[in-house]
Amino acid sequence: MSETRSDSHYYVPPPSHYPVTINLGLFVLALGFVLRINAIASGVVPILAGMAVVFYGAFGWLGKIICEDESGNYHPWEDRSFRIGMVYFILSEIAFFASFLLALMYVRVFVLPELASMDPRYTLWPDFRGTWPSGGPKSQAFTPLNAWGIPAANAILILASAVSMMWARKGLSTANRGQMVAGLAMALALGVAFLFQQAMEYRHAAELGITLATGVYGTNFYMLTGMHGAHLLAGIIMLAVLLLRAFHGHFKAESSVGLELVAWYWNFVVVIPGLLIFIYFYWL
Amino acid sequence: MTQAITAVAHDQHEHPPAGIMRWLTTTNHKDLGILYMSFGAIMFFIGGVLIMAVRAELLFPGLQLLSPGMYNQLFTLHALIMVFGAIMPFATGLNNYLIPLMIGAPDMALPRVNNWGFWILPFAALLLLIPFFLQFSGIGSGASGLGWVMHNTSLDLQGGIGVDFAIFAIHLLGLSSISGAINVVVTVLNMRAPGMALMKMPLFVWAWLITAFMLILAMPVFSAAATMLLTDRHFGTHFFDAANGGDPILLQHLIWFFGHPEVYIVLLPVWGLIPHILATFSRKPVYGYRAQVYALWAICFLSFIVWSHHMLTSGLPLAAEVYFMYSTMAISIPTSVLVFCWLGAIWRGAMTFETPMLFALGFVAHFGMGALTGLILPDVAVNAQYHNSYVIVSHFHYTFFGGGIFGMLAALYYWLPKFTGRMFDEKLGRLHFWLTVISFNMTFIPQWFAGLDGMPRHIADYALRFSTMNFISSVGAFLLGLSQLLLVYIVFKCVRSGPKATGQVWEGAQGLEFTLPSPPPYHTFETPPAVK
Repeated sequence: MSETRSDSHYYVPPPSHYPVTINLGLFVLALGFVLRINAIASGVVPILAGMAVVFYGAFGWLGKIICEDESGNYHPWEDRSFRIGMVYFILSEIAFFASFLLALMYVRVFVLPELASMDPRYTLWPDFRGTWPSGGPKSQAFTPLNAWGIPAANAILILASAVSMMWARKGLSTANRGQMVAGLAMALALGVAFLFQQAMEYRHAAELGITLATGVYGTNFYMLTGMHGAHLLAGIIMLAVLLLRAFHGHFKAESSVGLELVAWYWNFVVVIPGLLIFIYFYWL
Repeated sequence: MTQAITAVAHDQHEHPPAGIMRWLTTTNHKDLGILYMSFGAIMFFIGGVLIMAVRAELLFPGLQLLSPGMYNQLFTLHALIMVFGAIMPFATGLNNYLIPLMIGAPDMALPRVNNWGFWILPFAALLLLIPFFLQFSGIGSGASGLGWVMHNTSLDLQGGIGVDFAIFAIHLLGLSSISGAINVVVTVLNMRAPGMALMKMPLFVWAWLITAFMLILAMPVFSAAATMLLTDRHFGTHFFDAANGGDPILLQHLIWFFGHPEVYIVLLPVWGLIPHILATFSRKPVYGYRAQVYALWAICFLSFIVWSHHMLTSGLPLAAEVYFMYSTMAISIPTSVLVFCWLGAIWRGAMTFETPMLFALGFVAHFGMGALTGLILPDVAVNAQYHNSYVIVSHFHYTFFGGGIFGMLAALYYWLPKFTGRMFDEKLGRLHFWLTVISFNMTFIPQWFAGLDGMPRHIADYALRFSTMNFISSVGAFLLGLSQLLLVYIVFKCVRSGPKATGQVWEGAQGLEFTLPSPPPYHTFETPPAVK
C-alpha cells in the first residue's frame, strides 16, 4: 500500500506488449492446429511454438497484474471492475457449457422420441430402441456407464473441493492464514484427484467399448467430460498460483480479489458443470 | 519485487511509445477506437471487392469468370468479412472511442483486455484469407464455401482445409467479441461519472450495454457449434451425423441460436446512435428515451427465442413453426416503438439536412423496408416460397446495409469532426449519400423481384428469365462499390486539409463528448466530470 486509496483516480495501465504477443501465439497455434489435423505432421512445430508464446504472454500479463496488485495500484474502484468482468466471463462460459449440455438434451428429448414415434412398420435399423442411451445405427455394441462408480465418487470430490474453497475464504476473512492455505491446498488436491479418477473412468469406458465410434453416446461422453476436464485443468493451474501467492504472504481480508475470482471460477465453471454432467449424463 | 514495483510506478508517467509500437501496445481507448474503425473500414473494402467479383459473374447468365467452387468461396468470405470484420469492429470502434467520453470515464475499464480484443482481429482475418490465397499456389481447395452460417452443405461435401481455417478464425473472433463485450459491460456499470445514472445515459451507451449482454450469451454458442463441427470433421465425434445417432438439424439450431441475436448485435448499436443524430439536426431533445430503452431490452429478450424462423423449411413440427412465427412477429412491436420514436424525434423539429442527418434519414427509410420485408418472412405459409431465394438476400441487405452500414456512415460523418478536429467536405458528403442511396436500391430492389420469381441464392448461374434483374443489380453493385471510394477521398481530405472543427461541431449537438475540444486530448476525464 504505497499509495493512498482514492476513489477519484482510476488506474489505467501503461502500454503493454503482452496482449498482442498472446495473439501472435494464438495465431501460430491455430495455424499449426489446422495443418496438423489435415495430416501435415510438421504442424506440430507451430503448435508447440504457439503454445510457448501464449504461455509466455499469459504469465507475463498475469504476473504484471499481480505486481500491480501488490504494489497498491488497485483500489476498491478497480477491484469492482475485475469482479464485474469475472461475472460476465463466467456467464459466457456458462453459455458455452450450456451449448454442449443442450446438444445432449436435444438428442435425448427431441431426436430419440421423434424417431421412436415413427410408424413401427418401418425398421429404422436392427435393434432400434427409442431410448437413451443410444449410439445410432452404425454404433458398435457398448455397455452404458454406471453412475454409481467413479462418477459418483467424482461428484463427491468436486463438491468437497467447493466446500474447501469456501473454508479457505472463511480463513481469509477471519485472518486465519493457516486455514486459508490448508483450504486452498485441499481444493487443489481434490481437483487433481478428480482429474486422475476421470482418466481411470476413460480407461474403464474403453473397456466397456465406449469410444468415439459408439455414435452420439461416446461423442457426448468424451466431449462433455473433456471440455469439463480442460476447464478443471485451468482451474488447477489457478489454484496452484494462488497457493504460491499465499505462501508469499499475498491476500489480505481487504485485498483478495485474485483469490475470490478463482473461487467463483471454480464454483461456476468447474463444480456446477461437473455436477450437471453427473446428473444428466451419468445418472438420469 | 521491489524492482518491479518501481517499474510499474515509473511506467505510469511515461509518454506512449512512438511509431508502430504505440499502436501495438496501446491501452488508450481513443487509439483502440481508431484502430477498430480503421480495421473495419479496410475489411469493408476487401469484402466489397470480393462481392464485386460475384456480381461480375452474375452480370450475364452462364459461367464466365468463376467456377462454382470459387463463387461459393467468394460469397462466404464476403459474408464473414463484412459481418465479423467490417460491421462489428466498426461498431466496437465507435463504442471504444465514444462510451468513455459519453459517460465521463477516464478510459475503458479493462484497457489491456481492450488491446487484446482488437489485436486478435487482424490475425483472425488472416486465418480467413490464407486458404483463399493458398489455392492459387496449388495448396488446398481454397477458403470455406459453406456460407457465413456454415451449414450450406453437409459435413464432407465442401470440406477442405478452408473450413478448418474458418473454424479457428471464428474461435478467435469469438474471443475478441466476448472480451470486448465484457469490457463494455464493466465500463458502463463501473465507470460512469458521479451523477450519470443509468437512466441518464445516452442511448448509444444503453444500446451497447444491451448488445454486450447479447454477445456474451450468444457468441459462446457459435464457438461451441464451431468446436463440434471441428471435432466432427477431424476427431471422429458424431454431433451432426445421423448415421451415428446425431442430427444435422442440431447444427442449424446451435448456429441460429447465435445467428439471430447476431442480427441485433449488428443493429442495436446503430439503433442507439440514430436518436443522437436525429435529435441534433432536429434541434430537439431525444424523443421517447424511456420507451426506447425498454424497447431495446424487449428486442434483446425476444432475439433469443425466435431463432428457428431461419429453419422453417427444415421439417420442424407444426407447433414449433407456429410458435416461431408468432414470436418472430412479436419483435415488430418493440421495433415499431423505435421507429415511431425516431419519427417523433424529427416531428416538427427545425430540421437541417447535413450529411449525417441524410444518412440517418436514409437509415430510417431503408431499415424500415428491411423490417417490413422481415415481417412477412416468418409467415410459415409463404416462407416456403421465400426460403433460400434472393428475397432473403434482398431483405438481409436492407437490414445490414440499409440499416447497419447507413447508420454507421451516419455515425462516421457525425463524429468524424470530433475524432479528427476537422470538418469534412459537406458537398462531397451529400454526393456520397445520394450515390449510395441510388446504387444501393438499384442493387437490391431487382433482387427482391428475382427472388419472388424463384431465383435461388448461393448459385453461380441462373435461368434466363432472371437476366434483366441480375444485369440491373450487378450494375447497381458496381456503382455502389465505386461510390464508396468517394468516402475514402472525403475522409482523407478531411484529415489532411479540412477546416478546423469547434468542440461543439454541430449546432444542436448534445452530450458530454461535445463539451470537449475536437479532437479530444489523449487522456480525458481523468478526474470525473460532474453530471447534473
